[in-house]
Amino acid sequence: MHISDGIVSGPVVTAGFVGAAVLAAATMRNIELEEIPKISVMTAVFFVIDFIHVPFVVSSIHLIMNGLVGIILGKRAFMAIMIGVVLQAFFGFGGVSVIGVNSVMLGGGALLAYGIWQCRHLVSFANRDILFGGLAGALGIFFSGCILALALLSTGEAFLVTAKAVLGYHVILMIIEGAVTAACVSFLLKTSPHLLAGQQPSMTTG
Amino acid sequence: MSGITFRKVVVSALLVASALTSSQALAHKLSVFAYAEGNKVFVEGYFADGKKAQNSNVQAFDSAGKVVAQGTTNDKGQYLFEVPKADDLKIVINAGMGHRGEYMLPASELGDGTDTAEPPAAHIAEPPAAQPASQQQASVDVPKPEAVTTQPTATSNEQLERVVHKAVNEAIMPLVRELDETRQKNSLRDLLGGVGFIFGFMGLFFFFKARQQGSDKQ
Repeated sequence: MHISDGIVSGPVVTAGFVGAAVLAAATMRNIELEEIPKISVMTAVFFVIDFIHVPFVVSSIHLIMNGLVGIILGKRAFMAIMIGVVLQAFFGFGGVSVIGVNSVMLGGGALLAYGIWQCRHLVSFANRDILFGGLAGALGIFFSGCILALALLSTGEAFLVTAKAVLGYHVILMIIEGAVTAACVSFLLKTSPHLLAGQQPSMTTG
Repeated sequence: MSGITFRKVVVSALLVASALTSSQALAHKLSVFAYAEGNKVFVEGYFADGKKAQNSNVQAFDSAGKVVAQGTTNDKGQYLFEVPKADDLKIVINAGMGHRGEYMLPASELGDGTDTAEPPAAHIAEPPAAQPASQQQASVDVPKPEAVTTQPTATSNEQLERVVHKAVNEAIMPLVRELDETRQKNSLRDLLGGVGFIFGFMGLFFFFKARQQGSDKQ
């Protein structure tokens, strides 16, 4: 899903950097010492997971798990993903010029996933955490897919055709990611529930 | 987060990562490989995990940035085109969904535009004029005086060179291709390097934050 160099137009690249700067400034204020180890571990996990390939029909897909990063780190997920994207660009995985776009695409998805995860406080039924975890994972990918389609729109490819291809591919990814995220949430709930972000209904504390 | 829980998270994350990456630590990167034979250019697009870039858009740009060839890869990720003139070529494959790769093919690799030429016309001596029927001898097999003269040495050396060049090229092409693919792969070592960098960077951040908080308290 990472966009490579030379595909999207100049304005999109600029918009990507501006968006990434805005989101970074908004989410990186007053980081507590205690948060740093958790952020670094999740950054490493995000970085490594993108390298794992699952053969699928004619090509292969790789998990992204930005939803899980959002669920665990809350709003700090954005910086974790941004650092991951920067490193991946140096590994040839995604372009350097589009680091901003890729960060907004994946980091924004993580933030959205966190928002959805927080919505679980509005309802109350058995297994709501697992369900919201799965939803957060799936919708994080959906958001990323939409941003990808929007960015590709600027290349002049027929939008509807591109959008259909992108979203079609991502539907499967959404289902898989949702399932994996839900499984991780259920595991973490049993072992270390305090790792999950947003124990209080407010979104400003993490 | 308490020290023990933190350690549990780190250990389990690393275990999962190493278990899953030990066999295939490969990225979804589109690699392009191209080589030339004479004036034909052969292009192949593949992802670092081995999957081919099927039905992908191919474009070749000359050194002035003009498109000299364009097409679509087959389902083996390959595309063949003829180059009109010898020039540095930039070959770009776009596999859709944000995946794009480039390959620079220098003009020196492009051939002189000719395949192994036919040997220059041999000096075939004219067959002796047909004998008048009355004078036909039993020895009908008139010896053809030197049907093929020895070719000038310069030409045959050139020819030999061209043939050898072509043969060697064909022989090493799979090797070059494999070497290129290996170079593009991200190994487990690269992965660990990336993770190490993350932890190091965060560690520095932690250190400076701690110092700042320490001096704030004073």
